[in-house]
Amino acid sequence: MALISARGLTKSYGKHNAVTDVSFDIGEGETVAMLGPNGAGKTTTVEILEGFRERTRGEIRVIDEDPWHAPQRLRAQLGFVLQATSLEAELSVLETLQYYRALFPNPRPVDEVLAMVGLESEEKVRVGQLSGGQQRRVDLAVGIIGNPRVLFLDEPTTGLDPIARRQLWGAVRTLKAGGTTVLLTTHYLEEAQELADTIMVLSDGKLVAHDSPANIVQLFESETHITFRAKGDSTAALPTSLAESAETKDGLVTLKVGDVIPALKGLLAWADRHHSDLAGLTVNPASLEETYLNLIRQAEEGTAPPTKTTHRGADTHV
Amino acid sequence: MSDTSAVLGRMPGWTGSFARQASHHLKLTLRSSRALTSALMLPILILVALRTTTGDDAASHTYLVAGAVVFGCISMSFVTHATWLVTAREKGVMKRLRATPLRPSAFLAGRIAATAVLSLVAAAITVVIARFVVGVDLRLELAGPIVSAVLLGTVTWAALGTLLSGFIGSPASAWSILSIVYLPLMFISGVFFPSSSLPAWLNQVSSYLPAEPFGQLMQQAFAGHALAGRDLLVMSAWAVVCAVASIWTFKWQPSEPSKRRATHTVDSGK
Repeated sequence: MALISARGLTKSYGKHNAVTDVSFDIGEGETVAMLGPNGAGKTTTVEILEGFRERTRGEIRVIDEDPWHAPQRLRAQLGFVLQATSLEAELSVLETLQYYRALFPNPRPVDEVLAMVGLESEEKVRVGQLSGGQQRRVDLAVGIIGNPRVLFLDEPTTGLDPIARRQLWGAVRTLKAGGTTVLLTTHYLEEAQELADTIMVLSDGKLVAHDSPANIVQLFESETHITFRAKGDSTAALPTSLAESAETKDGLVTLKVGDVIPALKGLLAWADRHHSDLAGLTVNPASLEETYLNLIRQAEEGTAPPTKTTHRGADTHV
Repeated sequence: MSDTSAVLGRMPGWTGSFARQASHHLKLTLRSSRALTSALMLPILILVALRTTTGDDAASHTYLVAGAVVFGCISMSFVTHATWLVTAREKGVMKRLRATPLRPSAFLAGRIAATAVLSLVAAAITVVIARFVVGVDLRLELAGPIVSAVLLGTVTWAALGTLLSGFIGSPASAWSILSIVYLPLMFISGVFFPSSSLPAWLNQVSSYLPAEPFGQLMQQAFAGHALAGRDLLVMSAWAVVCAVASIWTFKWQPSEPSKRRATHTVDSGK
């Protein structure tokens, strides 16, 4: 049975839909990453599941409860790391954890939590004196002190340096191994790939992909951009296979291709014939933003991306 | 659902939660120097400043000390308390707290109890200083009525502060909005200067607002008179009305999340 489920979840502000008809299931012990650009509706979706916002339409269940009515027994089983660090600077790390621990019926031992987030040697330090990365780990410690069945992480590593990010990932892996169900929002594909069993891609309030990290990564790497500086009208003579995918802007030619090797072969042969030096040649995967746009376009045109939105058996009410 | 309690263990009880909240908030306030200065230093400043303007008889002394204590209580329970609520809410602390099993009533009652304890301490310090600076003679049997007046005034003003916190959007605007409410109330309350110098209609209005009856109760307590039933009633009514209204106006989440998110993104870009 799914621990978290959404059916046709929609949130509107006036005429604008922040989240449109989103459906999914999350099983017990699963770690799911919700990936998407700013304003994609990730936080809105998560805040509805957390019980902070009311939905406009649709059905949601979190541990068999409606989170909007958030009874005490539900809140005792949820843990949170909110988007912004939310701690009191005047308390030490130990005091903070002892304070939150006492609010829960079945909490974890403080020592265990300190060890999980790697803050044993900072326990006496006041939160206000810690670095941003350390504060974020205190945030995570507070989120798990109640021994939650479901942990919500809303952009837990935004603004952290790579070392702090890896330390936080380590703590999340330990929790995963312990069977905690984790719902994570992030704009980093790498983070989703590192931590999640399943990735949901949200764009413009819609669930545009829901699949394993391997398949999602493939989706994101399915388009490559080859750019170079063109001289004069030289692009006109490009082989048709490449000319179709070419865009010229300010003398810079971008070829958006699926298969890199044949495209490069064709391009090199063409450069040879036309004595072009392919100045400033770069080969890059499409940017995240571009991939999101492609996914929305595909979703709208009905050309299914190489993924099943109904992957987890959720009925999409379309 | 039957095995829920077995899985969850026992929920913390209300009384225990209340006591832990009270001690938590005592600790937080004692560590915040700004909160302490306003509630401890201001009454003493008032005492010393007004000392020069009042007469040298016992009645004037009593009047002066009662006024300083009232001012200290309102600083602590109204300004400090409401500012903390707004700041904690905008930092996201309250949002996180709301997401725990903690009962909102235990949270607010604990926080107000801590405020009341600190107001009593501030009042005691004011009284001790008054003995040396002004030379007020105070008998021990006045302690009971004075403590009662401090507690009722603190709880009432804390309830009013809790109510107003829902209408204050940012910590930066808290001080000015709160001052616009309590300073005029204090000036027409007869706490700083005798209300006989004010128009009768203003005194009439003021006697139904929460500052004047508080000042009256404190003066009755310091003068060794019985606390007047009418003043007790007006204060209690304000406490109950504000507490009940707060149920609807209280906010747990930061205001304007979209703006805050934008700021957050800019910060994290550093």
